Amino acid sequence: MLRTPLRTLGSIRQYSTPVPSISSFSYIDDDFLSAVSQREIAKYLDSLGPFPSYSQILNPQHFFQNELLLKYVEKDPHPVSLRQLAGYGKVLTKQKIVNSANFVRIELPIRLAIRIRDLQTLPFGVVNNLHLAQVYESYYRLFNVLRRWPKITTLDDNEAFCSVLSNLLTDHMSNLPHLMMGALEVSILDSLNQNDLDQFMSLMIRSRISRRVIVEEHLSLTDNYKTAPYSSKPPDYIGGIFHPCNAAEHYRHVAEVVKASLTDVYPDKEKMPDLEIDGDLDTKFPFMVPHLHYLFGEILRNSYEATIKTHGDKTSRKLPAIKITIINGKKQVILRISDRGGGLSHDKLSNIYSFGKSPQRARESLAKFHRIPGLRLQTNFKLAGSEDDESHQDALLLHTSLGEQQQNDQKSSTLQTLISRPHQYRLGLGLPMSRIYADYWNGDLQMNSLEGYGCDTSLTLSKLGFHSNTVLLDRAY
Amino acid sequence: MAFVPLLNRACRFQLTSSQQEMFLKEYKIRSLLERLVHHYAEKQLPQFSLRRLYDQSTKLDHNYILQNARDTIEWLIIYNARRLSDFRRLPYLVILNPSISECYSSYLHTMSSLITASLDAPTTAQDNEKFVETLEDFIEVHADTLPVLSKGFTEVLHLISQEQVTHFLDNHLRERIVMRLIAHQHVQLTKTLCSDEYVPGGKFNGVIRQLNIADVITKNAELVNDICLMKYDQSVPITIDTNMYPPAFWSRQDPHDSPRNKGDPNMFPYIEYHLDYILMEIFKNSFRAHIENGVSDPVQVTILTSESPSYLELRIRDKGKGIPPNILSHIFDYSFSTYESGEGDSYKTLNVPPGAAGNTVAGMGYGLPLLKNYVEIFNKTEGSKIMGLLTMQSYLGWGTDVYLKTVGTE
Repeated sequence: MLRTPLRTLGSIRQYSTPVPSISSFSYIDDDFLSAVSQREIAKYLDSLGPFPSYSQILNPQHFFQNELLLKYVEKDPHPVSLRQLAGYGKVLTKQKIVNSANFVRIELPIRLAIRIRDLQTLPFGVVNNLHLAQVYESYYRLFNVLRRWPKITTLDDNEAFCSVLSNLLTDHMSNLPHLMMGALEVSILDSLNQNDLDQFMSLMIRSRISRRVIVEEHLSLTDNYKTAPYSSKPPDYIGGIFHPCNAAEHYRHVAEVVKASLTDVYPDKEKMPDLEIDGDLDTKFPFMVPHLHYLFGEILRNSYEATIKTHGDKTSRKLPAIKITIINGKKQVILRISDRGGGLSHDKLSNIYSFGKSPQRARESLAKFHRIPGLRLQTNFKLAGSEDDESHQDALLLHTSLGEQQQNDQKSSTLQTLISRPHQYRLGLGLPMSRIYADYWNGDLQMNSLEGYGCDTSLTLSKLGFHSNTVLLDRAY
Repeated sequence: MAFVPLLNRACRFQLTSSQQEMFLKEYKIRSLLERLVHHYAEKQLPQFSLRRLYDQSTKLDHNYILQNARDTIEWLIIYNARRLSDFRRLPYLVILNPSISECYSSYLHTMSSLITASLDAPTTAQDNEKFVETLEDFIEVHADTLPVLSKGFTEVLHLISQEQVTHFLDNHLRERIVMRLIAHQHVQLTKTLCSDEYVPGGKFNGVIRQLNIADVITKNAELVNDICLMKYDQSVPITIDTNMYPPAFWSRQDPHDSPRNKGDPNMFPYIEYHLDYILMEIFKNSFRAHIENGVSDPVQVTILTSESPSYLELRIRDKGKGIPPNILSHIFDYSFSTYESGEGDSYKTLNVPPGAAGNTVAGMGYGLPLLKNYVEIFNKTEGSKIMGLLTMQSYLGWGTDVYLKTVGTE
């Protein structure tokens, strides 16, 4: 949240957490104009070319091979509604599992092709940065794998297919931070206007959510068929990836995570604001847990940070509580989060939902992003002219070193890493991201401010079962 | 339900610090590259004009040439960065085209050598000699990029609108001409300074020379006839006539009362290789039209020069049966979409056989639009009312008149 201008990077060093060993922040400063840097830079200019040596996709033949993708773009994606998901999963048969697998097999390349084509039409200078080029490469590799995948006819076929899907969920985890950092790069170079950038990000992220929902739903169906094929589903069943969520319970859990991440700035956890929850305390509704946690996390984080910032050094007593009201409507759940963190000036309020930042802020934010512990940032990036060639990633989509992660019943998610990031990694992207997630599920996110007092955030989440006819995923292929 | 312990989970993904260090180092360099290009592309350029070419010439001495070297580097870096930025604004897939990326990469390459040159800016005459070599490389690298670029744009026509291509090419070709001119100028100034042609304070130490226009015309007509002989085994004669009352026709003073003596040269200060390019393109079209239509009459060239103010006008009049209207309206387009039949191209170019003298751009469909750029390059920079101009009047069934007007400096 942008309650105050971001701290300068210098002040980060005062925190007790050791900052990773890189001490130079020179891509933030203007030292690229110094003679030493320029001499260095001159050596590497070829790196701005379109065909990086590490790439398996980007080479001079790619342009002509791409004709095939242009044909895919002409195909229509098949919208999926929650009702279809719900009806489909209620009684499972072998044929249903196989059909579902083939749907994923045929549908994903079409949806990927559309997004790849979007990237291709953006200016070269936008896509050809380290982060977005990574996304492009990863989408294209997946597109190639899936479009060649043979028809699935048996459960064994499906088994092999699922293990690939499952790996790719992990493999593509880094795409979300890469997208977000790509947006910051765009702001730094001012290579797209704010509207275009927001539209692009919204499209990419929605589409990503929808693809992941399709994949996760298939994995969940397969799993369900294997373990308990004849189990009956509850009447409000809308698919295996949605869990009944008790709002208050989830708030308390996420608040603990957020508090833990803030102990560096405010070690006295006992005095951190309490959560006071009122309203319909036993509200339960089906939702995707990682999404719910991300939404709750970003909002609570803003409130905790603002409260600590406003009151932390002024009182030795417990900080003013954060009040949450849960309103259990027929078709939706409304959540109001009120804090006393000093509020937000109205000129800032107007811009909080945008990915577009000033170049300076974007640079600061990006520098923090690169240091978030636990975020997967490794890339295949290799500078032209750099000598150390041995660390080439063998980059096989199907064999990632993280295969063991898949043993867990819940998929690891970048969203989780993001909400547990320590305080100093304040990115300024939480609200635009949250709004996309809320909006994707037919919800809404609004923020109101009493300047000098605090902020009220209103988060509306639809009860997904009530909107099952809406072709949710269709809004986002 | 059981919640996954988030913090523990996050830790399992932690990069080792050396991995992160590596990433940050590479990232830093990478982002510096983009910002450097961005930084220079946004810089203000001094107005490019004929006047500046003259200033450089009159100030020329052994100190000034070093100053001029530094200015030349700075200007070229900015132009080069602007070219890179324009490329980077094209759609991603367009740059992935191998031909277009080859062009783009050649600018990355020269950007690199220019930045290196700027760090070792010449401080002695010897340094400057070396810098001139760098400049000659620069000119060389960009000499043959147009056919490649043209091939590339032919291959991306389904991915980009014609307006986008035209906009890009107009800027690109114009700034490319200016870049090359800036480089040529410094090379020429350096050469003149070391030769006996050097005139301290003189106006013609650089690329602008006093040209005998009739000689230049004759030379280019001969070059084009060489090509015609090779291709058609024929040549086309030309006749040259000139204005009668030199040299102050436009000054509205009373004309000289005596007509020009036959044999008095029409002198005009201009950049010879620009005039060469312009005349070659026009002659290629006229001569081809004469030959293909079996016309044996000469092509008539009329030269008009004025000293104060300084102008050159040329009319090239052929009897090659004119240009059909459907082709005429596209004659200055980059030939990438308008010509369904091969017919149109014949008016644009006289294809140059491999190895023959002439600009290889001919035959790529960029001849006439590029020609217009050469004529109008000083348009926006001189600020005077009458500017460089190229117009064409077709008399269908009879012939074509091409009018060329270009401005000098008082």
